[in-house]
Amino acid sequence: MNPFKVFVVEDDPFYGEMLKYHISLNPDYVVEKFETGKDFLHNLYKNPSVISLDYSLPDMSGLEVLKKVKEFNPEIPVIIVSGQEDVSTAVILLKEGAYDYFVKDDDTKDRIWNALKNIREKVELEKEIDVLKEEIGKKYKFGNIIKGNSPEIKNIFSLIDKAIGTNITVSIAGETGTGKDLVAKAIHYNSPRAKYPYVAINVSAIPKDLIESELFGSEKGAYTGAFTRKLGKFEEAGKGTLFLDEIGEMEMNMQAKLLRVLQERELTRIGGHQLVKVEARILVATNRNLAEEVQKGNFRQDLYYRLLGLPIYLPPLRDRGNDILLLAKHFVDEFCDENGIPKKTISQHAQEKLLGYSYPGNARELKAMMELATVMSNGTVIEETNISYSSPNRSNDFMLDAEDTLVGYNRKIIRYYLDKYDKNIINVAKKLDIGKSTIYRMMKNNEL
Amino acid sequence: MKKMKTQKLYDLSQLIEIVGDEEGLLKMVTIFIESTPRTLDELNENFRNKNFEMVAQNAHKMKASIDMMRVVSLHDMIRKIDKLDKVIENQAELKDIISIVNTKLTQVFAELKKEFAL
Repeated sequence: MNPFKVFVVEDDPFYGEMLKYHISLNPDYVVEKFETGKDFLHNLYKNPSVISLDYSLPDMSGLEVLKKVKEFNPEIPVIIVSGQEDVSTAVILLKEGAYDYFVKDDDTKDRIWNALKNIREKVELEKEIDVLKEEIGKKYKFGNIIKGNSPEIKNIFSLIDKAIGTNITVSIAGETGTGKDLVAKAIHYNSPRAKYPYVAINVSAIPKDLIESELFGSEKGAYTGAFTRKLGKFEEAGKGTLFLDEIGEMEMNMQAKLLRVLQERELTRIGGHQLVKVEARILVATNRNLAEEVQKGNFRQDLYYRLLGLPIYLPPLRDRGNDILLLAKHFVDEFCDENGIPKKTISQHAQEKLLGYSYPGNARELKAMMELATVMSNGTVIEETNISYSSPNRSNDFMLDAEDTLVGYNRKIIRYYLDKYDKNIINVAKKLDIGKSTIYRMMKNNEL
Repeated sequence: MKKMKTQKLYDLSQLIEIVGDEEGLLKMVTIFIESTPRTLDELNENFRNKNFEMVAQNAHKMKASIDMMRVVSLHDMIRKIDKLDKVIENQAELKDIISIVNTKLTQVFAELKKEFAL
């Protein structure tokens, strides 16, 4: 770790030495002392962590020195230590970016001590944040988020690349578990907005009465229980990225409000009058076919076009051929690393079994399967018997199964669709063009 | 009367609290009796040349050191000089104050030299 360098600029050698003594009581601080502004500025290239600056120097005023420091590096905190008890001087210096202003008295040394402690803690936290941001950035590098060599995946990489270079709205479509959220994160963390927040909200997970305040925020007293002002996700995202997941689930009246905000690029918190600028980049995702939803009248056409931007479609895992094996190996390796167990391979028979499944839960399901298989396998090879499908009924190879009755096939088909669409009965009923009451009845009779 | 004469013009308790050991204390006292007389000389010279702005600046420079050495008798006087305007209305008063500051500080220097055998 770099030493915490404290520069003391003080024309009175006695007072300067006293400060040096006091600050040096912390063995982590390296203190250098200067008696003139000129001498100090000659040494500024050493980039101190913090500067304690006397306001009255023989050759320059504290204000002049402060300005030069801020020109050199505005991030270096400058504590002004002065005999001047003049408030207006303090105000000017603080406006020019001084960290704090202390009048020389009996408490000065303690104030400096505390200020240094606070600055150091802040610097360390900022460093930690930088490191973490860098790590997140690495985590969401293309190659780390979506594994695959299939042409479909290579095409997705090229689309993500295009999305990163511009501010275009991106709409990500794909079945559940295909990694829509990971694509959104990859776009954010590889774009110039990476230094700003990434805020994600799952529209379907928020009760419809709360979605407006979640998105746009609310003022104190806007509704019963609004005890304080609450910032919405748009404001939280600031100049970063707002990811609206499951946008297809949004109700029509909320769609109208969202459209207005996206068009005007400004919003008003619930119960407020002040206009708040919207600067966040918008990414949306859905597992529905939005174009179809527009035709059915469930989604506003104007909002659809506003959100469409650059469409990225994530193909289901079953259509990605050998990517299944590549991903399976990746999940096994990752699980072994995380749990500190030796690497395992996947036997030929196990690979064949993996390729013969439909993965309604896509990569998410494969990950769970491979983690379980890794745990279940005894040696260094994952065998066919270690692999069990999350739901044996999920196979869509209905016809390949042993012969069955029509009723039996009906059950299998409905079970398959229920699994595929997350037990959304209304959706399944629509897909199969049957009444939802049929499904409810079959469930009630334990036929499914 | 005898007791009054033996009372020190300074109090090193605050300085001891900061520097902690004998060696540090000796170093700080040495710096004080080397640097402060130089500033005092500058102040006298500037006063002679009627450069009152510099007189105030010199006093300002010495103020924190005098406080740190707890020379209580000069606490108010050094501040009066520090707060001088460029135009001095009562030069006689200023002359008196500077004279007292000189006397007291000279005494302080002598006493410190004696105490620390410098």
